[in-house]
Amino acid sequence: MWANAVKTNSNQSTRQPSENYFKLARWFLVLVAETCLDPSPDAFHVRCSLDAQDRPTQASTPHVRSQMRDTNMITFKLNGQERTFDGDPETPLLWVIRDFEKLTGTKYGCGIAQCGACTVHMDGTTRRSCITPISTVEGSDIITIEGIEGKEADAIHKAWVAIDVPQCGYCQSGQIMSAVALLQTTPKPTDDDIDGAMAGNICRCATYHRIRQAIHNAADTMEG
Amino acid sequence: MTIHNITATRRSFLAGAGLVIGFTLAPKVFSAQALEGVPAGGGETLSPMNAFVKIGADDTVTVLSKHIEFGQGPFTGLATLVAEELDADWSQMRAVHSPADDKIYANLIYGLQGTGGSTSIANSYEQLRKAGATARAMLVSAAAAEWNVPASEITVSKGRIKHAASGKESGFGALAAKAATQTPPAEPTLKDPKDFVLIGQELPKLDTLSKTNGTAVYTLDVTADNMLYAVVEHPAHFGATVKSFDDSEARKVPGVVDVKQVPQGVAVYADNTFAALKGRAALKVEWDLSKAETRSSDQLTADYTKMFAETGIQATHNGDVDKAFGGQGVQSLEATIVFPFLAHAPMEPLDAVFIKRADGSVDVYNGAQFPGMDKNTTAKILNLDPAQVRVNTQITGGSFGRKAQFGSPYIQEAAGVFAATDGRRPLKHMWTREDDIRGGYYRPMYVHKMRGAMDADGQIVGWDQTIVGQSIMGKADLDSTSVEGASDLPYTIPNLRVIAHNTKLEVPPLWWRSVGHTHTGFAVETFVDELLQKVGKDPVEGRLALLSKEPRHMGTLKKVAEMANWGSPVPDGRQRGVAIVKSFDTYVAQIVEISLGEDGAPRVHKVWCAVDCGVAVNPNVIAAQMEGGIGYGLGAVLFDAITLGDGGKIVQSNFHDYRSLRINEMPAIEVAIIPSTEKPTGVGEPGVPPVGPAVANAWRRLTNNPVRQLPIVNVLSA
Repeated sequence: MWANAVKTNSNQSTRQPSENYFKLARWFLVLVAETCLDPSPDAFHVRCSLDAQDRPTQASTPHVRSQMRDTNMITFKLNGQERTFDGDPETPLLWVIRDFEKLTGTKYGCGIAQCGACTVHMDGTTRRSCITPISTVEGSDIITIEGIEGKEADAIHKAWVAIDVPQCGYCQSGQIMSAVALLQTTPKPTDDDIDGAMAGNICRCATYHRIRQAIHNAADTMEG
Repeated sequence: MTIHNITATRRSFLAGAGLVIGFTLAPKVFSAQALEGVPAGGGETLSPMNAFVKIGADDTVTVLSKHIEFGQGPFTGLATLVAEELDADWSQMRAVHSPADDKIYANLIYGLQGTGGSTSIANSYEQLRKAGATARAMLVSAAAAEWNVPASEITVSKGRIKHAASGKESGFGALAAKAATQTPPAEPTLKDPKDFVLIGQELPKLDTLSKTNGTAVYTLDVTADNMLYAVVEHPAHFGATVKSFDDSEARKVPGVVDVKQVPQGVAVYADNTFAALKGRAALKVEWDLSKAETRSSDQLTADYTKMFAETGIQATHNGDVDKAFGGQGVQSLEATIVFPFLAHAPMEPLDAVFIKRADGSVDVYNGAQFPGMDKNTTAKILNLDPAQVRVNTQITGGSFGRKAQFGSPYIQEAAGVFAATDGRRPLKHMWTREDDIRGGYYRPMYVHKMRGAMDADGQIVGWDQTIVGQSIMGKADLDSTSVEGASDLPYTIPNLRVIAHNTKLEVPPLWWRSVGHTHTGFAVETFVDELLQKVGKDPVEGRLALLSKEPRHMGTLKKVAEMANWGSPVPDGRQRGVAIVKSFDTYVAQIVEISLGEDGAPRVHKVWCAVDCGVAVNPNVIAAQMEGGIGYGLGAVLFDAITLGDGGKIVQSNFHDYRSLRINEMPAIEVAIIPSTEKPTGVGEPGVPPVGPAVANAWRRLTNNPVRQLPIVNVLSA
């Protein structure tokens, strides 16, 4: 009975990675691996820097090498930049974005596409990154809260700030990604449109009242 | 396994949204402001005026919040109190979490540092205003010395310090370093409330911007070089322990580094979160259930109900209840109301990051609701002196009570998982949603037996209430949190008795947003409504007649009735219900309008809400807390229960079977704040209790079915 009341935007599609991507990505991986193995401390990017004493026990370095020979390379665009990933192809996009890319605006909330905290845009539509294996992202264009832009995003951001929508704020990246996608397809949404687009995004602080108002306000400013 | 930028772009500066801790950076970078996601401003020239106020050379004023910011607004509220007395401009205010210190940053109501009981503003109201007034006096003193003019001739307004006669003028920043060396006044003078310029204004919240662009840093976002990610496989029965486990498949998962048994279960350590989760899923664990809770929720209900016949702990007895029920012409009504376990389910599940420094000290990053306790617990588990542990409280994705635990049991687990390593790699420990939903520390199950006596004149002359359930405080005698809202019933009923029974079970209990009022508010407000209906009285007028000794109750109830135009015709197919609950010294009355939804459940269209919380420091934050409290409470009464199935196994696991209210189910809400000069009281919790009984009251009037068991959907499907 209750399942019917919940509308979620899980518009899933899959893509197979192409050979060209493998070649390109493998080349970059060699570059990265070499950089990380350079013993000169200055060569270390802050995210792969290690205390000298820790280096021999560091697990990810040999792992990179062993994966270089036979693993799938996945290449995709993240906020306009080309990226490659050569790890476990089952890894959900969410954890690639967070653990590997260190873009942490996209949140973990449930892991089963029930809460929407992990919502990103994949090729222009909303996607629950927590259930999207990275293997299905090959060649896709991913936009996260850090990279969202355009008149809809501007209007939504301003509307969110103007009436102080967030409380704890943890779900708000996902809420904003869903709201921007809504305005991109429906510039003047009705309350029903808002319900349809936003019911997949849980807010435990229940800021829904203001989310609805902010979407209407954003639509009004876009119009004007 | 790694990932790397192929092309550096103009957006690379955005890549630092998460906190990335490099070991090569100097420790000062790890100071509070670097971790909050809220710019503290001022940089290295931040001058401390006192424990709560720092002023930067760039004129920014940074307030150190002793209370955790998880959406209820202390950053904004405490900064408002400081800014008011400091005569700062709102645009220069910043807020960060204070360090953990049970003395300096104690909650003045509880005597140790902690956030809870809706006390953040209430206990800080004078303290933070004094902190602002002290800093102001020190700035004035510095200006007087610098300009060689009498301090009495100096004025401060909107962040500018002026001496009219000489025409001298300065911002705070230029005088901050000198001000920090001035002797603070022994007892600073506070403003007369009529002179307030910021308190009472709808100032924009300080943490909104970072929460709309992905830059706010939560514990889950704290990242360190070479970090280990750890998750723990927990049992599905409370009180179960590990009998044996097979980790051979888990260890084959690429990225899994180690597997270890810990007191709470089996920990999997990996190079990234997904590897840890995949490794955990590959574990085979056999659990020892010999000490586990094996009763089902149905069995517990039956066992609780039997306890009504036993002698309980008397919480209140006014008049003579037995005599009242035996009086001539007296009618009685009896009801049993069953409340389920409730999980808090904050959006950010429990998590913590531990980093051991070269000197052996440890930094903890977490949503510390009791920072001092988390510090001491970490020290104990890691065999350190508490002085060697720094708790860095992070902006937190909700709590609703979940992160306020005596003895810090979550930190015991997380620190234990870290302690089981050699400590050379930083470690992030996280709970998944499944861990959260099945993790216990629930709002306990309660069963209430209600008896009401009405005399021939239609007066309610007797009230007899027995409450069976766990003591949240773990008491053998009366736990006031089990009976609050009932034992101090606001209604004038001459014969009143409230009895409590404490039950013992393996399911760990905890306070859940509004604590005892989550169930006592429902029981009291639905039962009084039913009694009033029996004697033919209007729900609002009838309550007002019983509240003649409670002026603030009356004022709040009258206000909400006025807002809803109570008594006016209601559209066909709709019905209204009312409830009023005082919790944490704040009075909240709500009227709801509902209809029968297409799915057979109540559809809540509108909620009118009146609140009296004394001085309204920030009306916008207060309204937001009422709105959020209504949504949180409504979701729970409509949908939520944690149930123990046959053999005591936890049934629910995630948001698909532990439902949250969604936007399409959120009613329209109107909030009014009663003007008041009383000391401010809390608003984080008091919005929750009235909505459930108001909906149940409307539902009973709409369908003739009283709600005797929560959640309401369970009654419908029964």
